[in-house]
Amino acid sequence: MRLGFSFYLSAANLRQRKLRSLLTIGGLAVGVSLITFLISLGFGLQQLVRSQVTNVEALSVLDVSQGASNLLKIDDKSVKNFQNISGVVIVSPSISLSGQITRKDQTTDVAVYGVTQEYLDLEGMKLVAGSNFTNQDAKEAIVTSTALNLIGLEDSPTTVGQDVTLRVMVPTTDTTGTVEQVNLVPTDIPMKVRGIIKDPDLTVVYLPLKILEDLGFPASYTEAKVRVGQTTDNKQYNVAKVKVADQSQVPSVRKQIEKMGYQVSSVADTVGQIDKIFLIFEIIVGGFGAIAMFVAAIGTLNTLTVSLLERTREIGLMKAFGATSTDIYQLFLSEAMTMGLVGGVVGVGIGVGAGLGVDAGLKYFATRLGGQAVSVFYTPWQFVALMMAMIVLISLATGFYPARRAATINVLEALRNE
Amino acid sequence: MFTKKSKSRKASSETPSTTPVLAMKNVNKTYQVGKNAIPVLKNINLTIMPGEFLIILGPSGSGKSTLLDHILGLEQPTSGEVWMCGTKITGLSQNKIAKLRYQHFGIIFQRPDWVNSINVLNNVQLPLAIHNVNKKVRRERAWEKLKEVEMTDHAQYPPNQLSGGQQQKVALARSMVNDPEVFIADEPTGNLDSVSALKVMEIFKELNQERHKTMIMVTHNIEYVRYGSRTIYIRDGMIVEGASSMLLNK
Repeated sequence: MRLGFSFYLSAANLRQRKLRSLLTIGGLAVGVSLITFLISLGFGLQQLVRSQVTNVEALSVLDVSQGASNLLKIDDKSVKNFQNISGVVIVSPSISLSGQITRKDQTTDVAVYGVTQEYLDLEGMKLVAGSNFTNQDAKEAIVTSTALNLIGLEDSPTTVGQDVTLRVMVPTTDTTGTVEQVNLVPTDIPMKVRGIIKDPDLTVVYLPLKILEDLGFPASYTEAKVRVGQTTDNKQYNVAKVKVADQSQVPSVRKQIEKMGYQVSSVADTVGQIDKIFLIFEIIVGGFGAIAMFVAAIGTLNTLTVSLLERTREIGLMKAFGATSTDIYQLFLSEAMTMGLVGGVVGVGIGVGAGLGVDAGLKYFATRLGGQAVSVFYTPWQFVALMMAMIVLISLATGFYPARRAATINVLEALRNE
Repeated sequence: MFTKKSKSRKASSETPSTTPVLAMKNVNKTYQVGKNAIPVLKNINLTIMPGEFLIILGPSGSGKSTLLDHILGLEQPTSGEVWMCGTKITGLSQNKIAKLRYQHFGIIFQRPDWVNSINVLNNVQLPLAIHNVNKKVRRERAWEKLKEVEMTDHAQYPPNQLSGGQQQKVALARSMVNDPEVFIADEPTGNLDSVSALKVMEIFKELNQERHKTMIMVTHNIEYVRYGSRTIYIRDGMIVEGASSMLLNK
């Protein structure tokens, strides 16, 4: 018997017993929609949290620091060593120190970072006002909103271009005879606010690395950011998208830098932890859905068994006309699959639809209450495909028992069945 | 009953071959009920040649239906051999017997059974669909057979909404759809009124006399003996020799 005819008979049989079919398919749809809804919530929350922590670019960035070692330094030589590692695209060093920022009579303590523009890009800094450094010689600062607020400035575009003074302690070497002494001399650097970063906690000022080096800070850096990508292609920013795929190279580069004695951290570590937590969450909510799915599968099994009992004479008739055991298996399994597929499609549709509905509602209320509109539901197509494959497998499994019974039924007994 | 077009069937069926459509050699069937062995068929020897109209007559419980089940290959004998159109079916797998049955036999049951979820036209196509015949071909052939039994008006009906006589006509169309050489009918008029029963018997007669189809019909109604070219009488699982001529002389 052709598969198409089996499906035709299955559909006809399901249509004939409308209410029963509707209830069985409805049960499957409820199970599938519940799983889809809950797992989509898990994926959505995971994506939301990940986007708050980092961006995709940052996942291929490693933070290298001296760590506890006083002997190791990140200098131009080590930067070159990092650059020579296979897979590294950019190495961007930085100097960090403490200082004070002053405007008129208001002063606050800040962390000062001498950085390149590349460093800021790798860090994934998002400016809420202003723009990036004009060049590495410009006396410009990118300041966090908290630091600005503490010196009486608002974190709004009107602040961009305002004059501030940055006081840093510059190390100077005083040589008297054979004794060499390093003194820290307070030095004021007049600067203009070039950009503003929204940060509710930290007081940080970023300024061009070259400004600090010109003041006499040695080219020994406290931290470096290393970007991993394709070394054969040096058009680094043109292949920015490829760098995401090269996330696979991150562990080997990390290993090599750690071998040199440096301490390496990455946003990917945090993201990995987040992913683990959400995996557990998804397994738990998926488990609840699976219970509903199990109950629905029992319903399908029951429907098919009742159908077998009602159609015993039909089966006998078909066998008398030459239907083989394989044909009968095919008939029952196609009926189970039809119910599974319809239940699966409807269930996924309801699950995704409910997620979109809840998302739209949350966005509406968030916007009305002055919050940020975010999506908390996300359904990857791979998950939908997996879900459909699972429902088909479950349907086949539930259809197998009645199919086996039908296939092994004795023709004469079936034809004499009342 | 048949249309003119339908009377001219393929040439092969008009020239009966010399191979028996059915041969049973020393067939015995015994059912085991607990510790008791109950013989149902006893040493049956039967040969049916192409073009015959065989009436199998006998009272209820005589073993007529069991004999028919053996002829159809639905039951295997305890001993002896059954040959279907030159092929020994004793010991063959059910799937192989099913294929032979489809190739050679058209079956009409006492109580027609249907796949109730599909209409009359699709039910008539069923044997062809089971054997993977192309959709267009099987539809055309089913329609043709319904036309022959004058049931095209009911093609879209659910079969269980038809009267007993109409159902038996549709069952006949279904048995003809695979163009079999042999028609096997188990009490085909058992549930019909006398008018419908007569119509069915007339169709059988036409199939046998005009299309040279072999007919094997089980009945307990002595009136139908006149339709057959040969009658065998079964009693207590045995063919009673000489009983048929005695019945014909009655």
